[in-house]
Amino acid sequence: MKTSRIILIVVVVALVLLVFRGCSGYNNLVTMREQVNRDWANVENVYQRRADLIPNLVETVKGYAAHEQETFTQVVEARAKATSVTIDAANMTEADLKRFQAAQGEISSALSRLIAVAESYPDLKANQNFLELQAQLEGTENRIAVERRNFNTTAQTYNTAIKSFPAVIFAGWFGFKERPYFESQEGADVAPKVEF
Amino acid sequence: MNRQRLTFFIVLMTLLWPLCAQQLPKPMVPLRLVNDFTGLLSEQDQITLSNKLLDFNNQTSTQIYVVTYDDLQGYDIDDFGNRLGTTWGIGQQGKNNGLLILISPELHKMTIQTGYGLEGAVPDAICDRIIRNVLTPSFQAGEYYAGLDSATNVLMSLTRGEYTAEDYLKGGDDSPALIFGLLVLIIFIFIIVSSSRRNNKFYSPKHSIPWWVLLGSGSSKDSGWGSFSSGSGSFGGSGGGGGFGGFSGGGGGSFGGGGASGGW
Repeated sequence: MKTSRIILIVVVVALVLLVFRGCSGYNNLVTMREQVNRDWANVENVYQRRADLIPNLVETVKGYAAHEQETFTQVVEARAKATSVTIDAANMTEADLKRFQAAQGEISSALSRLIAVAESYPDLKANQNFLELQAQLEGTENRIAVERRNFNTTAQTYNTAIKSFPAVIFAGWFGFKERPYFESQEGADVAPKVEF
Repeated sequence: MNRQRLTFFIVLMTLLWPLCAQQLPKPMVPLRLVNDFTGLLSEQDQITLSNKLLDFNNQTSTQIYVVTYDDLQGYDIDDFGNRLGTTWGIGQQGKNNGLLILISPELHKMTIQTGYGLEGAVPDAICDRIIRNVLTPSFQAGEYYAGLDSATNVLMSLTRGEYTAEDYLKGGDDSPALIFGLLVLIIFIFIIVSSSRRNNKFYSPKHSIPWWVLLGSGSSKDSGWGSFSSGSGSFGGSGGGGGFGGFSGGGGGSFGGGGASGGW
């Protein structure tokens, strides 16, 4: 009689503990998922910031280098294409992120061609407006690198959490899906290049 | 034998090297706003500049750090500055109102990094303008202090309206802890002096230790007594003769990559 009662109490306590653990684990996962979504929004913001700089930059360069029409069209086209690639943060797959990265990568290379063109126009290089736009562009590229790094860090924490033991059982039921990472393709994440 | 040892040493160093390379420098002690690791400025200039920035920090809670450092570990200076700013927690948590001027004298490079909260007040274009019009000419002339002094003046005037220290003083537990600690010290001295003057029994430590220790430990670990003792020289503030003012370090701000870089 007494032993069975003790066993019953132990089982009940264990069950209650398990449910509590499960709840707090679930809440943690929700918080982490929100963090990943927030960091993704930050990534999109900084890319948008870069896209917003482009019209101004193109106009300024046009004023000095009117016949570099081909470079301008490339930049504008790459921008239009990249803004059409949007990602649903909640159902992001590796392929989505690859497409996004490829489109943004095209902007990057078009922009570096534009800057290279500008280099050969001394008047433009001395133009205050152009210098400031260039500074803004550099700052934005740095912001992109930072936000990508932040996103990768939070996504990694979240992915580890949904794959570790108690959570792995119920993560699937509640639709906690793994998030892809940014690859260090544009050289944004791979830092060390040694200069002498 | 010797050669074997040498090889072993070299292998060990190459294995440990990646660990060392990831290490960012630790803030200088006593904590200060001018961390001149390379000795670019004279001691006196460091103290003057640091105390000016400390006054500004106490008024507005905005932290402007000046750091000189040469071993950028292969990172671009802006990337390194961003990591350093976030790791040191320059600016207040939640406000992210930190600014970092990082200079590498050896590489002739500099960067101004802005915390998230100051990207509006100090846009990248302005940072770029400060670097080109203020810092570069003075650095070329070898006038490092003059350049940094006027650059920080510009940054201070730009950010003055952004944040006030009022809510910082209310919210942050650093300054109240400091004042509290000072009060306790005064009371303690008063008790000792009065008890010895009356020639009574000496103040018995049996009674004093409990509340004394309790109150002492109430102030936060790195701000209370540590900065009190380091700040004793410059509690006058404007005097500026003594040394680095009492400063409790970065407040946990973070950086998003805003700012500009340049070279001279």
